[in-house]
Amino acid sequence: MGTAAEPEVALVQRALGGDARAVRALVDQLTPVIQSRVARALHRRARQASGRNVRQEVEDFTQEVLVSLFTDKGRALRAWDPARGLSLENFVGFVAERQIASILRTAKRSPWTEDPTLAGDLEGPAGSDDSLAAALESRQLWEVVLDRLTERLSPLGAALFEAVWLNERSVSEAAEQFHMSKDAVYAWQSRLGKALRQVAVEVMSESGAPPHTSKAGGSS
Amino acid sequence: MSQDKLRDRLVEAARRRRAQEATAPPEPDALAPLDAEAKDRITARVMEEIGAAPGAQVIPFRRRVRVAAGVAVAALAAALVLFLRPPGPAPLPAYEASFSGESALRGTQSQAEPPRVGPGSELSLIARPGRPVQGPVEVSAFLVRGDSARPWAAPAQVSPEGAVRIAGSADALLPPEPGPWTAVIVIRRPGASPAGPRDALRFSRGEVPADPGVQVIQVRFEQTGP
Repeated sequence: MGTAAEPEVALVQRALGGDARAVRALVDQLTPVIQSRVARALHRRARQASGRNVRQEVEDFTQEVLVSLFTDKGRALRAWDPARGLSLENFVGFVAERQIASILRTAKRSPWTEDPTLAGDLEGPAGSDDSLAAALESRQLWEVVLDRLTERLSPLGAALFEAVWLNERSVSEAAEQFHMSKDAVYAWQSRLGKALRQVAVEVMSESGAPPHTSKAGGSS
Repeated sequence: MSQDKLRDRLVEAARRRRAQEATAPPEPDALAPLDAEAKDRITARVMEEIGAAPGAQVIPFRRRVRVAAGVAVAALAAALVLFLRPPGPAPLPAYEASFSGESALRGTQSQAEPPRVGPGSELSLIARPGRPVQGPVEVSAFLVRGDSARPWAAPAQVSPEGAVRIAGSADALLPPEPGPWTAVIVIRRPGASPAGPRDALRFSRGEVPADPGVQVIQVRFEQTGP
């Protein structure tokens, strides 16, 4: 572990041990990044949320994310390993994205919740891989797929998705950035691909289209 | 459809989202930093989750009550406080109190007129330590009028950092006896002698607790009638 991160590691340990000052320090440190992710997520769903007090929602969601870091004896927070190449803020940012996506999808209390049934966006059955592609042309459905995938990925998986797929970093660069072997990066890519396909099929299924039965062709 | 194509579509969606966020960021209100009170609430909730609440009952402070009574909420508060800083090891820090009701003063404003509370209004008394308090504290509350002091059975919430809050409807928290009151809040370390009405009466007259583990706050307010 790099020495630069040691004070933060110690802070996290103290907070997990119930030190109120450390908890408050982490709240101060992590609130901006979480709040930013929350604000962006809520903004994307602004249409579903007309009339809501955005400020209040931002605070509520920020609190939920912070609490989730400490849930189950701090399982999420304990997973942070600075040796993996993610700063605490980046790590928590990915956790926040995942948590927010989950809350927004499942929280029945919230008018922000997106209706996963978007049958109106579908124009054809999904009986083959190509028809899956065609049906998922809807931008709204891809938004749902993106959120759902975000919800499934670990912070490291999300970071790799961003680095390798979104920012087109090479496998070698990613391996260096995240302190892992190239094989491990390839393995992650394969997992991302499988997760994506699984999510795509689920979203299609929930959207009311006929079940998709054929296997993916192409590479993994 | 190949996974490559799925991947390409996903990446397109992610880039589209990123571009939208760059050109149409969230409203400033959503991005304005959360204030200290909000962070207090979050911290209290996290402490609750950890299950490491220090000794005293720790209850997260709820969001400020938005008083919707026709009249604009008067927020405000009279603050004052007294406290004693007796020498000695690990004394409690000085506290500052704010009080809000139908009308009030806040912070350092002089208390030319005491804040008022009455039927239908919300009362909120918050006492904050000058610095976070380590370890548990206990709270006793009293209402003093003239030469009489009585225990005030209002529920006091204590944050993990030792802030104390009494809040609720005036009808529920106060006896039906309009007139001037002095609320005396005694905050003490466990083990310090519990305060009684006679102590509260003495404190209301300026007496200072001898125990460094005790802090006293007084707030004067006027209870209005129906």
